[in-house]
Amino acid sequence: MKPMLISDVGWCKAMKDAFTQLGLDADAVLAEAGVDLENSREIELGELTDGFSRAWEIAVAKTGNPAIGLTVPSHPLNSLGVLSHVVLSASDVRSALSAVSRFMHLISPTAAIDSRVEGERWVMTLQIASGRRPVPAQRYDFYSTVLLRAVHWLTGRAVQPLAFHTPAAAPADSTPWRKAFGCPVHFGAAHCMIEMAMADLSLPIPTADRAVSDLCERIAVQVAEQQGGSVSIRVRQALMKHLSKGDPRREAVAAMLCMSERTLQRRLTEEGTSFAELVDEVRREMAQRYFAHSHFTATEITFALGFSDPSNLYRACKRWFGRSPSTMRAN
Amino acid sequence: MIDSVEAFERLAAGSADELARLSEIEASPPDLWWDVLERCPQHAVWVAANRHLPEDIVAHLALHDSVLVRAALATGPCVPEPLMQRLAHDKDEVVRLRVVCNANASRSVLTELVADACTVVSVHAQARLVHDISGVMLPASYLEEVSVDDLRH
Repeated sequence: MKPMLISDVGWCKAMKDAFTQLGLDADAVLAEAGVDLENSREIELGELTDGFSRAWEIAVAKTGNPAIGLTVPSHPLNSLGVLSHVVLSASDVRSALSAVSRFMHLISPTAAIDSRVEGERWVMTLQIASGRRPVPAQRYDFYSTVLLRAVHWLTGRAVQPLAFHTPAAAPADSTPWRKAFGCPVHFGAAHCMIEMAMADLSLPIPTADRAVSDLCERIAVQVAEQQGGSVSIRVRQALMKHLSKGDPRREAVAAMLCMSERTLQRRLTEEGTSFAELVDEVRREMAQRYFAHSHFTATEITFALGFSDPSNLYRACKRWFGRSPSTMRAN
Repeated sequence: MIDSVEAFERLAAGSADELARLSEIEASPPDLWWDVLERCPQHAVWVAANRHLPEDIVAHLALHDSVLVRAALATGPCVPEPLMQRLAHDKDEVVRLRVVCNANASRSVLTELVADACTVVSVHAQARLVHDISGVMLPASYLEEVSVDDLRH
């Protein structure tokens, strides 16, 4: 299996860039958070995402500013690593964002982006894996800021979304968010979502290049296949995207990852986990987030987690948290 | 055809379809591009993306500070050989990758790019020289040894 260095994570570089702009010693913040950039061992997702979450918490504490996730990196495409070539060569914004969604795992193993069309709107849903600690709002703000800034940089247009939804609780003063996104901001949402006008998705990219796009897509697909060590991460990302569509089937996820069910099972076993364990972990993390940050009813959470019956959620909550769904909500 | 800077600005501020036209329109007179660059420097990348630029504008844009401008230029069909040679040695691999994928890159340019520091640029140049100079019919195997480290911006 091919190990991934933490320092290889494109978003980690972007985060350091943002911390530096805020006047922080980025390396010291990451070290305090337990993120070892020189670590060459295989990344354990829960540990990594907790480290990044802790780093943002420390940065907020040091600056006293809850809006630091809105910091624009000095060069947004640097955050996209290998994908910078893909988005630069895309024909339009929609192709560029679709590529980011498809290959997100290459630059950020802790995040997944799902996109869909709803009438005249393009809705991007951002999921960030949580470990033992909840994901701080600044991480959602930062991903969204970088993506929107990249669109601006690619097209030369200050594209403003139609709406921004964040799981964060409403701050005392929401002005920085409304100014940064230039659109209505909805706090306390179940998911982080950016809604954009389809007309903006059609904007052409002046650096479009079909030959480069084809070449980079081939390499990105190949690299995804080479990253044997990240199968469990990719399974988690697929689950985060598709759980709400019903009880996840192993063969369906294997197909999404372009491998046979048997290969998927073998690769997960090599990584010391199983498909069922990953489904349970992702459901637990998402349930925790829904109970903490959404107004979903227990029935809605049942279906959002891919359960077919509320009794499944009841039993799972008792096992995960030692409490029933109704007491989770009450707390 | 555009005949004024204002006409260019209208397209640049227009819809997606109007923006897309910027890469195909011709300017009359061709010197108009100088006025566009002077009065609308923020749109230099759209000028570089144009397929009908006079050689003096191409030469000017090949030295532009913005990597996006140089990348858009390196993609186009109107880059003469000496400027293609210059872009093949651009400091940014984004530009060199455009050159090595440009169907008009000559054998001489590709030969120089075989020694490129970026592995992807190097192997693609080799593959075009060995298998198909147009870059269209390349075997899938030539990218087998490429890793994520070889294409990191």
